[in-house]
Amino acid sequence: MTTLSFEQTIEDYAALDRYQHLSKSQRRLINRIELVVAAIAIGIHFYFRWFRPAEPNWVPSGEVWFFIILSLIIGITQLKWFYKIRVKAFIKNGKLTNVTGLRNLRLEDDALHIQTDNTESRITWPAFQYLKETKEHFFLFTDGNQAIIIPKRILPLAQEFYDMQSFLDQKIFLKK
Amino acid sequence: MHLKFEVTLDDLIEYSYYTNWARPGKRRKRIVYTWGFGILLIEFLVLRYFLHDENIFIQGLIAGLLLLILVLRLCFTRWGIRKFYLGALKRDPKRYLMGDRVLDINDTEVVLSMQGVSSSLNWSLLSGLRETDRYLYLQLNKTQAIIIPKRIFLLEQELYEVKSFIESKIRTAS
Repeated sequence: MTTLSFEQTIEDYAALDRYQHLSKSQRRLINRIELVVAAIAIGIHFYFRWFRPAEPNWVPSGEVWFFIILSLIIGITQLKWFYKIRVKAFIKNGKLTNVTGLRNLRLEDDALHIQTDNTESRITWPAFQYLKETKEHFFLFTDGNQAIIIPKRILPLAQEFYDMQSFLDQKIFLKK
Repeated sequence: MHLKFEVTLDDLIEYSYYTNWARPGKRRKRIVYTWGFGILLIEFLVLRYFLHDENIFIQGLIAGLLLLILVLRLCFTRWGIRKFYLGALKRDPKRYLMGDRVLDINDTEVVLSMQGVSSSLNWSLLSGLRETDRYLYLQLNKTQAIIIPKRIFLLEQELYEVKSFIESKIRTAS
């Protein structure tokens, strides 16, 4: 049995939000649509710049800005700080609660116990859908939307880290 | 109080529809997506046919916005949400937690149990109780809730008792 106690921060939840946003298939579809729209904008830009230079009236002055704004919208969703701001805004306007604060995790042979200030949960290992390991976190998904976050910073020793990694690997299906 | 019920795909779709579109907090979104389409359409027609404006960029932009508003509007109809859920379930059948749930409501906490997961929540964590024709939503925040289908209450009196108990506990906790 292993017990872990840590403070879950906005950055931790933002990391989960970023992973979900960028990796889920429906998100990828949205990203693809955004890319197609951007490609169309680039197409319009170069069409007017290269093939219709003799007709300057056809070149809309706003079209360059349209392209730049689209590129920024797409690019911004790749940045970590975008998710931090997003999570802060969600917390502020009441769309997210109980995502930061002290977490006590107890990893037992048959289940994971997690305790926060207001909640206490017991999740059996088969109830987890999959495990995702990123550079800074382990995400233990109970369904497509919800996950238990274990930050790697709370496992400073190499041995602790490898023990945790192999334990989670044994218990939950690892998603590559 | 001990409530036992099953959460189906239809229940999830109905909750998603409520939380993304129908709930009182989404009034502005409904106005923009519904009236925005009409206002842009009128502007487009006026520019194109009455003012004979030949500015292709402005017209193209308005046409693009028209399409975007229409697509967004469709995404938040029950049809759009169902399509979204079915697509997500096709890709990942375990995407959403459905099935049997047991909800124990007592003086100190709410305990929700389902398929290997058991969570107890203090009343202070619950932000309110919302009601629609077919459901009670025990709100954790603006977007997350415990769904209680009204079909599990055979008598009006049972529903009334559960509602009053939950409302009194949330009021006391807040």
